[in-house]
Amino acid sequence: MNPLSRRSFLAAFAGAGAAGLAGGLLRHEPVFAASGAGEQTTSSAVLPGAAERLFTNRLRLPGASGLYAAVAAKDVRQITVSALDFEVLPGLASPFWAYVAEVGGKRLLNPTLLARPGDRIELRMANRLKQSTIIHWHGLTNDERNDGVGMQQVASGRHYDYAFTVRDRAANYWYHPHPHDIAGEQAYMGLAGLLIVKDDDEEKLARALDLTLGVTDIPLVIQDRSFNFEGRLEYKLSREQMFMGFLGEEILVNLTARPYVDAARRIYRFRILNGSNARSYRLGFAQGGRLLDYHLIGTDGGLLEQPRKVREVFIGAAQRLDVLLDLRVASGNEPVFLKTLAFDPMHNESVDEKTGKPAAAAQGGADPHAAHAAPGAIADGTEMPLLRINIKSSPEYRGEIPSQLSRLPGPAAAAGEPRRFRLGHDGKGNWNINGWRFNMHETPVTVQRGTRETWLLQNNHASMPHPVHIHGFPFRVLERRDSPAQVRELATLPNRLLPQDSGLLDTVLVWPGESVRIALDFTHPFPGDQTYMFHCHNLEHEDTGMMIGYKVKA
Amino acid sequence: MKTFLWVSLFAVAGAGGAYAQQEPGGRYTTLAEAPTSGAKTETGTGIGLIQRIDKERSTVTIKHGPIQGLNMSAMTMSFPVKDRALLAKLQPLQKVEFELSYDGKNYLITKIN
Repeated sequence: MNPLSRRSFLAAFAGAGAAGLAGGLLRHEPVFAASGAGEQTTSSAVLPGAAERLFTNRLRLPGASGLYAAVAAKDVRQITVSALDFEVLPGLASPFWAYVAEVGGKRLLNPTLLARPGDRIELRMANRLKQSTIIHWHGLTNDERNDGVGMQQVASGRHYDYAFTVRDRAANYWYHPHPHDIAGEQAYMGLAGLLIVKDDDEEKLARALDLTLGVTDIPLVIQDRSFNFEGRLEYKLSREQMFMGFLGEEILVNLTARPYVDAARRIYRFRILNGSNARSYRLGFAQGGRLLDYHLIGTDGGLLEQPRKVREVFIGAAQRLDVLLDLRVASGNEPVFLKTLAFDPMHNESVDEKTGKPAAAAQGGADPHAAHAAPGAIADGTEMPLLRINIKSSPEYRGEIPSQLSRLPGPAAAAGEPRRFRLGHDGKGNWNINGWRFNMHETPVTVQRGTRETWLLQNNHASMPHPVHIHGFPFRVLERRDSPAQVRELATLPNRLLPQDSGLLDTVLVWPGESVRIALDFTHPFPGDQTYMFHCHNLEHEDTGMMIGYKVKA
Repeated sequence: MKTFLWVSLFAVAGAGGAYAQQEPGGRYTTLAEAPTSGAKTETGTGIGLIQRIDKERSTVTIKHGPIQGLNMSAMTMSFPVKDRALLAKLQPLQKVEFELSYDGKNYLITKIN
């Protein structure tokens, strides 16, 4: 059964359940329905009821110590990659892997590292896991040695010294494991932290809106996880799940299950990281039956020039969105929910490549990937509330969304034909890029340092969404073509671009059948040839070879 | 017969997982009811993680380990509770120990904490 007919079949099955044909035991209710006025509304039965009451765990926030504690990156001398016990669910110890730093007598887990452009970061990574690992500084412009990938991974009990200067714009970067073959498990078990680079524009914004990190300027790391019957993190993948990517049974925010945060009637900044292994989200803020407007102010590579008003934005694995939410537009004290809205996950790996329609061979047969989501896993594209925001009474607030945020020069596209990359799979369960699968000893692409190039990322129809991450150089999106309708309807900018395409990116989500043209500038100060990775950030795809090395020739 | 029943229930729960999710933990709404012929009541004990509480139907959905005494393997299922008051102190994602009875037709949680 192909995915389209599979969906039809399951939808019919769920419908039958709602009609009582399955004994009334299954329930399926549409959550969002378009109103006649073209404004999305939630069905009234959804949020004010049971779901609201389920969000009873206070959102974990960066504090003075412990998980996510904020610390100047230049004060960190060592990060010890550790396996420990941690209560992801309240009161239930679980195996958990963390980046542990000791700073000023305090023990920090996955610390939120703070830096300014020009800062020097010199620290040792000590590996106390029972397997090899390496830290990748996601989004930063580093030389090959400090970028941190499989070629540099260090064995259990060994260490690796990083020394680099922060050369990039102020932005929400992050650090995570990048060993060969096992990045998915290591990230899943807990290894991930934010690296927030601030500059004068950032501080101006914080002053204008009276923002404080951890209070009104809140990092949100969204990750889906599964727990076993004792509440311990569980990462078990079938072959099908390795092909599609891990999907969990709970969606956590800041490692908090079903979280809430108390908020005042004012502007909040949310620095959102999709830290999930494979899941994409369509993020919106909802109050009762109404989706609220919010402002996108930044992406992977920092602030946009101007805020962009949005109501829903897609975010793929590894991407960041920086947003402002003005809770003064909320009515009454009914809680606001950060939600992922329903969308078609487009697991179209079995369609006919030429027609984009269900493959004839698959129409009557079994879809080899039908069981990719383990029983209990939240299906990709499912609407779910993620965070309850309780509105509390508060003093009057006068901050306003600024009209100008930063300066971001327009993309400088190279002339001539783009370099083409096709994303697809070989029909045998192996994703690839231009037919290449990762080989640590090969760099099938070479570019010349100091040159500009345009790359065309073309995703097959017989595919699924791929969050494509390019190491070493941030890029700009020039154009989207053949985007699916659910993406096209959000493309409010010229060349069919999405609001988030107007920022500097290190990862871009490319949908099945879609082509995305990006501009890269391979200028950097590092001597000699440098090799970087270019891969899908669905970590199971990365681990199974959807990655290539590319060489920047001096 | 019993094996077939469990397999069926598990599959239905999985299909529910793909759809009926307007709230966390709202994916399993399958009642564990076994239309087998009468037998003496058996009792088992288990450990599990609460997935969902339905006070209207007096059921609780649990991702549980093997249930000692009933020869039931680990899975996620909804069970009715003997007394609705048993649900009062339960929270989603709470780890619980519970006692489950089986009278040859129905399963019933008699203790849970």
